[in-house]
Amino acid sequence: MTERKSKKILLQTHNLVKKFGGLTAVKDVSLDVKAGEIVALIGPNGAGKTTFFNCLNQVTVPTSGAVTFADQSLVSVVSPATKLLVLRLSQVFAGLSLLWLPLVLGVVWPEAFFRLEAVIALSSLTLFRIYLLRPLSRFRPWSRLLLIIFMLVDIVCGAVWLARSAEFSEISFFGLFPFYPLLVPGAIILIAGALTLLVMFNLPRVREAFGRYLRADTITRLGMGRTFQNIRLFSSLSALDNVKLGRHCRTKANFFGTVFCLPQARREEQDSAEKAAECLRFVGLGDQLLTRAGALPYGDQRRLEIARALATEPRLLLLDEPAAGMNPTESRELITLVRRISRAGIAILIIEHDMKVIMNLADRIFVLDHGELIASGTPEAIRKDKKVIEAYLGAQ
Amino acid sequence: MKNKAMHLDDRLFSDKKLYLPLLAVVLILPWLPMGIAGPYVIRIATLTLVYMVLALGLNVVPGFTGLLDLGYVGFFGIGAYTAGLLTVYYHWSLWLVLPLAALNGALWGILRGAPTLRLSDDYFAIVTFGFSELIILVIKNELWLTRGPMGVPGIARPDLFGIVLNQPWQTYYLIFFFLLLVLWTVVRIRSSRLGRAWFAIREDEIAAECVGVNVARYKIIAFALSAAIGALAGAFYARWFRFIHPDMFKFWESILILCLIVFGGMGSITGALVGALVLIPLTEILRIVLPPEFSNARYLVFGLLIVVMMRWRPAGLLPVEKD
Repeated sequence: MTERKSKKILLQTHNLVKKFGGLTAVKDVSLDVKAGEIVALIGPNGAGKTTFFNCLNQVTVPTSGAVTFADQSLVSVVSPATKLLVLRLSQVFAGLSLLWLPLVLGVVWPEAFFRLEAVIALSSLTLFRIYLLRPLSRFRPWSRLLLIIFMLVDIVCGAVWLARSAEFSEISFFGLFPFYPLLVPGAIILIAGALTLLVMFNLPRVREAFGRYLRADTITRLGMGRTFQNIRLFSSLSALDNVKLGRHCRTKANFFGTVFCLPQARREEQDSAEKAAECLRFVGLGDQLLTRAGALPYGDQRRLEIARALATEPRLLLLDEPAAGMNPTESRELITLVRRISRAGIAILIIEHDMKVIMNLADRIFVLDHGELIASGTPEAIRKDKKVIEAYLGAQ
Repeated sequence: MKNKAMHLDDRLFSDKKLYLPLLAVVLILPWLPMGIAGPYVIRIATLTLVYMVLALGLNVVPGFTGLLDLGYVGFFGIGAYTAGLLTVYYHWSLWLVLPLAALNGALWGILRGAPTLRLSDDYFAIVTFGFSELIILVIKNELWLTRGPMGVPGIARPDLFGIVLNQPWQTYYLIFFFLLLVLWTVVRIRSSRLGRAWFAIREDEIAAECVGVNVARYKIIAFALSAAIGALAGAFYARWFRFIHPDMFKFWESILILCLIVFGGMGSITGALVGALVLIPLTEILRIVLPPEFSNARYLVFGLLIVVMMRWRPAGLLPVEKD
């Protein structure tokens, strides 16, 4: 590798954590991949390597930590203070939401105040609303939407109530005190409260807390291609169609272009067929274009997955155990294939158990054990590292 | 080698030997002398074509995108009522009412699809079932809008450039034109970027996401297209039948349309067409063949046929691929 190339960092993770309930699958992993480099990630079974991969392209959302890819942040860091603020806000709103009961009743069916079953039904509805608000504290992407919908409902209810309030001026609570004086201030408080909260939730700081959750397909478009440990091909489609799907994120033909046979869509289709065939030839499947993917032999399926990932024009290719289940000849072929991909200027992050493959290919190796990074360095250094030997062979 | 993985559909639509005779038969059909049964035969043929459009439309969701839809008749009903009510209240032309009905169908397709994006197969099927029941309930109870159980009678016949199409063969050719339109759309999309994205979602959602397919968006497009086609068929149906009633859009109809594509082969365009071609005339033939007291039992034969099919050809009459 040239000096200039190796300087630019393509992928960097900072204290990435993924927890599944009580189990910490990935624990504070910080690693980096430079442009054009081949980096290997090794570790015993269940060390969290695949989970780490899934966190990189957001197939599973990491619990905390940061991922930077090509100078773009893929996971936003939530500061504890902001998290607390949002939590408090959601609690306030949940409390406010209790007032929703008389509100809706007043609008829809004022007499219901004096019917037990209606009060019970609406109380449970309110409790359900509060239950739905729980995920707020976990910053789910849809939770804000939910909150805003609730608030809008409250605003509308409040407004309607206010407009119809004169109708209820005669009604009094259990014949004791009049309803009307309670009604107007109640509605005003709800409208004002909901509006204030709406504004508050649009504050940049709070908005940031919800994070810019990039979906896996956006990340693929940014240039991160991947293959899977258990092959995930579109098995009833032909090999060519599989790779054409890899071109999906680089093409734009839409419904109308396709239906009306617009020249641009047609050119694009032809173009993607050519590029896909080229990718298939690159991995050595040039004569299997129209074979059903599921009917290909195992080794070819692995190579087809690589071709599909290559068709997305990645800058970084994540290979998850590409040599699993391959015989020595096939894994030798795989080594040359990975070399050729790397020579095309694509950085590679590879998970592998086959040490021969790793030692042959990798510029640098990171070792993961029980979700923690225990060693990193060149293949020679890793081979001698005490901790690594311990993790693989057990402590003496 | 070229034929190796070619879809049956591609073969049908590229091989002139296959489709030209079919086209000829379809075009000549209204002119074949069939005695007193003449208009009746054309009527059945028209109905078959309506079901072909419906089968093609439904095929987009369970066949292409791989999500079981048990409430397709809901969109049929939405289309029929949109067209019927607009015609009765505003006396608009078919060519204005039809796109509006299709758009309304697409709108409800999206509204139904958006909240169900994250649901997996079985749960999605239940939601679709519930949705179609909901539509029937709304149609039955909102008397101010739909006249409820009284139905909507006296819907104007279809028209073309101000001429009212009142001959059976005219409406027959009209639905045939719509069938070709839908067929063209579906065939074009099946072998395009859009269709591939649907297939990818059907095969493996996570892998689809990882190759860059925006799963939510393409599911929504599939729902919208499928619903629009269903509503289009419904709009034609309302103008052709000239009377609509909530009982026409019962759950049974959804199952019937689903049967058509299951019978023909899920995901296969030719299969959807053949399914409708076999099963819809069959119900009418059985009505004639069976003694009158058994005429309601004809769906029994129908069910038996499906069971036999599932035993001997589980992938449908014309499956998409053969290994």
